[in-house]
Amino acid sequence: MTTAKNTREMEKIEIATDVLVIGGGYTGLKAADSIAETGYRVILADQKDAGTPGQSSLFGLQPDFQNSLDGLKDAVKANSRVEFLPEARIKTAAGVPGDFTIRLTSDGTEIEKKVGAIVVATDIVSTPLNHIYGLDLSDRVISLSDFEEKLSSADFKKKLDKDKQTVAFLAGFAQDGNPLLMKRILDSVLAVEEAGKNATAYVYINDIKVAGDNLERLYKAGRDAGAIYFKSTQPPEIKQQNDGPAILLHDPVIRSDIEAEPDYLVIEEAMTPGQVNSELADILRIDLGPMGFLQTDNVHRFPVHSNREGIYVIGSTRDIQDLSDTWTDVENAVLDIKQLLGDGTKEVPKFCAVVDREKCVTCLTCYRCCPHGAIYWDDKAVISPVACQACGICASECPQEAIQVTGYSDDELLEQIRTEISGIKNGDPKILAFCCENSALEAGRTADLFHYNLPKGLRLIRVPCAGKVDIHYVLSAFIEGADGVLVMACHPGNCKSETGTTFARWRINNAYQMLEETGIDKNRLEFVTLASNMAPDFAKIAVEMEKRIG
Amino acid sequence: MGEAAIKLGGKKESTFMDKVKEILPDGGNLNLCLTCGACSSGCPATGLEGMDPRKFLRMAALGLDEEITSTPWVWHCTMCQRCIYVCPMKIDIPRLVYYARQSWPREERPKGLINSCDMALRNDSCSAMGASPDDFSFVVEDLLDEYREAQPEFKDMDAPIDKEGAEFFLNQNSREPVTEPDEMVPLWKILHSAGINWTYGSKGWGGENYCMFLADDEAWKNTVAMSINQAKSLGCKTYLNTE
Amino acid sequence: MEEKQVMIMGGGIAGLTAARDLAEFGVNVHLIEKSSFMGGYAIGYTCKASTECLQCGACSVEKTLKEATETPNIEFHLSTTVEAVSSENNKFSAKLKKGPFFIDPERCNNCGLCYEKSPEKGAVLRGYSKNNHPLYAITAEGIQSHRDFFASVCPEGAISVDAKATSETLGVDALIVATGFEPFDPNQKPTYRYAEHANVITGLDMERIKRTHGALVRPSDGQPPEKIAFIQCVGSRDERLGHLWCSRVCCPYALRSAQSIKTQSPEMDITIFYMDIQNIGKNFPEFYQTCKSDFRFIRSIPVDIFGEDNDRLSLRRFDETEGTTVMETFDLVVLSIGIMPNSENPAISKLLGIELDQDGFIDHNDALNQTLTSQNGIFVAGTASGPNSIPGSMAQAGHAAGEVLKYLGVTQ
Repeated sequence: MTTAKNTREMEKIEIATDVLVIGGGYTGLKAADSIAETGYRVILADQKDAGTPGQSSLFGLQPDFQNSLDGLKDAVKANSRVEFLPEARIKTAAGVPGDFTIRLTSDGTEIEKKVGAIVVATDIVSTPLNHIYGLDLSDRVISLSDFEEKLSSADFKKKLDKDKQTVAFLAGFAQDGNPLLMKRILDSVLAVEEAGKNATAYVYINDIKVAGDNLERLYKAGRDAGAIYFKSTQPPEIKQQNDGPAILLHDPVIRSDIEAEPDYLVIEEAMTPGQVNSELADILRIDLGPMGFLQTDNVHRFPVHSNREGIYVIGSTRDIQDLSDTWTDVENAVLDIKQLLGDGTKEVPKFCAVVDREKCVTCLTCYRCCPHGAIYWDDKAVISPVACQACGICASECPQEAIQVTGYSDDELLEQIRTEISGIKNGDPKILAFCCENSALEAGRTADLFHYNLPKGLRLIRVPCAGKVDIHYVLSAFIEGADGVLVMACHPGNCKSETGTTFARWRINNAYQMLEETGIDKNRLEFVTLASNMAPDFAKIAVEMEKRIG
Repeated sequence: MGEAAIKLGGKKESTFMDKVKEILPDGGNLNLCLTCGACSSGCPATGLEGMDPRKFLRMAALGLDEEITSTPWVWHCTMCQRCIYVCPMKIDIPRLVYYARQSWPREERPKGLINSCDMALRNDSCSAMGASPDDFSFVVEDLLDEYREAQPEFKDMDAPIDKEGAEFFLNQNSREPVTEPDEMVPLWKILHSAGINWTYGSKGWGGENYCMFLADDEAWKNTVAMSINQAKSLGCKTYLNTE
Repeated sequence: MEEKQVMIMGGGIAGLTAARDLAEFGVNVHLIEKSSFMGGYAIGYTCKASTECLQCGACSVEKTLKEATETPNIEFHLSTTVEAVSSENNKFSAKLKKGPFFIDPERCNNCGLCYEKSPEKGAVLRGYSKNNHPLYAITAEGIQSHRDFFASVCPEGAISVDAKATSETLGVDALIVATGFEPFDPNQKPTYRYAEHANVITGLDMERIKRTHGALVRPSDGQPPEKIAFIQCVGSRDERLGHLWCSRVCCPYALRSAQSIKTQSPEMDITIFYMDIQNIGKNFPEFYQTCKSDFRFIRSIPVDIFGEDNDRLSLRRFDETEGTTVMETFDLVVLSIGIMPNSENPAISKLLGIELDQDGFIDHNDALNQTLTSQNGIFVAGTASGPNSIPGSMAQAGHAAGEVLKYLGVTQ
């Protein structure tokens, strides 16, 4: 097995240590505060306005918590290590970790900043879903945000009780919902019931999302106070009449239709990332994940990583989160930033993926295929040793073969293929398995250690990512006498380099065609996906291959 | 279900359920239903009269007092308590059923229960079968003699009635002395083998409690008082309810 | 600067993550684990990928264990318990009870001979990961019953049958409590008859079975089931038991496992009995839609399980539409048991002078900062403080490490 990775020559480089924080809501303020506390200078680019923390109720907080947020805002603005840029818009972001150049406007002025790291901390947007229910908002059909606003008035609550008013909440039929939205609804329901014994809350809901701190207890408190929950998988029929909303539900509990004409009908809201996320994804070249969040649902990214080193995504930028989870994100990002930027000098491998400037024709294939945004160019392609994750996708994609990864060069791998195959005893079917070091290699070694039944003629070739496996390697293996070849990648969505599995699968599909043309049985080549903890499956796959070709 | 839709009108003044909640500790958790359906999964009376415990509770919560105080389902309930036993929120549905029974005019409650309760009230045995204290003594003594003779290993066994100072006071479902006297014997044998100092009472030995099932609190109290007073007057320390 | 020492109690995913993060900043970490293997419950979890990764995070445990193992300044203390802790001048002194270690990790090469030749099943335990070293542990009972065997079996001479427990005292600057959770004991819901029916299993049993057999099989006969049921919220959301919380991980593990089983065996008939389905992953709407087309979801919690011929099981449940109870037969029933506070929490609370919350988890002192306990210098991470997922525990552990660094004044 190659161990070159651990004996790399290191080199010290100078890097910028200022940190750009994008977003001036609670998340951004908290991040600016914590990063400044570690000693780095922070540029806080407020995307919205002059630093108004996002509406606190969006985090499921009581309004009185606003005070402490205001305190945070004041502290951050007074912090000499924080430069506050109001009305900011990021225009371009170039460079690599430790050396990003950001062009932005603030209050209409163009500014350029050099920063070492970037933290994206945008706010969540809450939008009423009345249109999905076919309802128009009115005095009595109102959004959850508006109702929360009303509940902040003591007079409103008094009137709920005095006039024996009923409030119906509608949630979970226009969307699945989430614990944060649930907390807002549960808080409002309880507030209605606590307004007085004559005020009544009815909740029309599908799934109750109680998977959050203390939500089961809050749900109970509302029921205890008298709120009634009509749970159904089907939405009720709602008519909007002149004299207010009318709700007709078939209640599965009593198996009858139930009518209500509440004084207020409160409509659920979608809590989604703002449009700014997709703009930032483009500008920063980071992956846009499901539902418009700025992180793919890949365990290697959790909690705060983007696909690019040095760019972190926190709080509601990456998922729907409450304040405590956001704080946790902030501290994780601080830890990563400290590790990345240190004291401004950084030890980096002298060679990672290296471009042969003689061979490079600046076709920019590498720039386009690098999942880590680690490649830029002067007149030729340049790979940042800070950003490079050494996955080798670029090396395998380069049409000029101008890129080599230290420890995994074409020459080294081809030599290894030769040596391994020639080392297999004659008579045993010769199987070569290209194993991603993040998954299959671990599984294979575990299978060996645990004495699972494995083919005698099986040899593992370690690759940094399945995306490093060239068609060339596969064909060489057959030429060198392999009876079977396995290419073992991570499951889609689990690839540390995001696209390595896709590249590998695509190349193997091409390899099948070539095998057909050369008359080699297709069954001798197999592409599989696997996780590091799947040793029994690894063994099964290898044994089946042996049976097939034996 | 073809029925007219139920109309909700906010909080009703003092509904049936509110009254029950006032009586029960912690309000019997009657508001806390998660609608998980566990009660109705476990209830032997689910589906009878188109009712089930969860529906019954929900109807009470919605203030549908007329429906829940008139459904004959409450009389199908066996008061087995399974619904509360499996309920994750420990909701006291059995008590809700009990109070619903109580809201029925006595004469409209099931005839069998009325007759059995009335019979128990008519004799000092509290026997719903109308077995008098004398009849009970005769059956017990006769049976005891028979077993002592037939099974020499139990020749010293006793089945005392009104034994002063016994540790345990036992009651007895009166179906056994009347129709299946032999079924009383296994328990005697156990008590004998364990060396327990026990006694029946001539008064209040009838352990079945039809007045409770009838939800007639006053009558229930009378029958229980008869039995407890007998135990007390004999100086028994522990009352063993065999029902 | 003086080298800082931190003790982490608990070698599960939270403890491992915090240890790795602290060690990267030059802190010396003592990672204390009471069992014979690092990794906690989660190292035993299986991959739940369908044709694609479903983000359960089980492989992250494997990865973090590997990284922690490869980090030089983490000292692993296996089979170790903390007997007493005292503090003075911002320094903690912890008295440890260690071992006995019958296998010398320096000599053991994990050949597995002691395990394979062991005269009694259960006398030698095997770890879950290749990064568990030693991969094997011999129980005290095993040594007692088969002294001669163990004295002679190891070709490397790594087994010493006379090993005794030892004590050690550590001086540390800060502490992280990462002592984890306890799975709900299904015997507390007796109508499911878990103890009685072999094919009524818990979610955790399902993991063990999948790990051993590479697929889900029935414990009664080792055959793959054709029809399985998951019952959600077993032990969670239960006021009767005093468990007024959603365990948060059971919907995710049940549905992800169901997807992974369905991918392996497309014919499998799967039913989920539930109250409320909780969100799973960021792409939940799409995932849930797939689940709804692949499985039957029934919003009703069954309470009775009866045995049938061939060790099949019939479930009685309420049918909402008909208003009656129905019986349905399954080959295997999985109880989705939840996350309970570690039963040792009261003792830990006493040992460290930290408070528990009303549910019995380690309390966090600040409503927003979930890593601070009621004691200065003692931090908490992972399921010790409440139900959490693998990624959630890792995030909290990273946060705790950050707080420790701040507390210790460690900057780079």
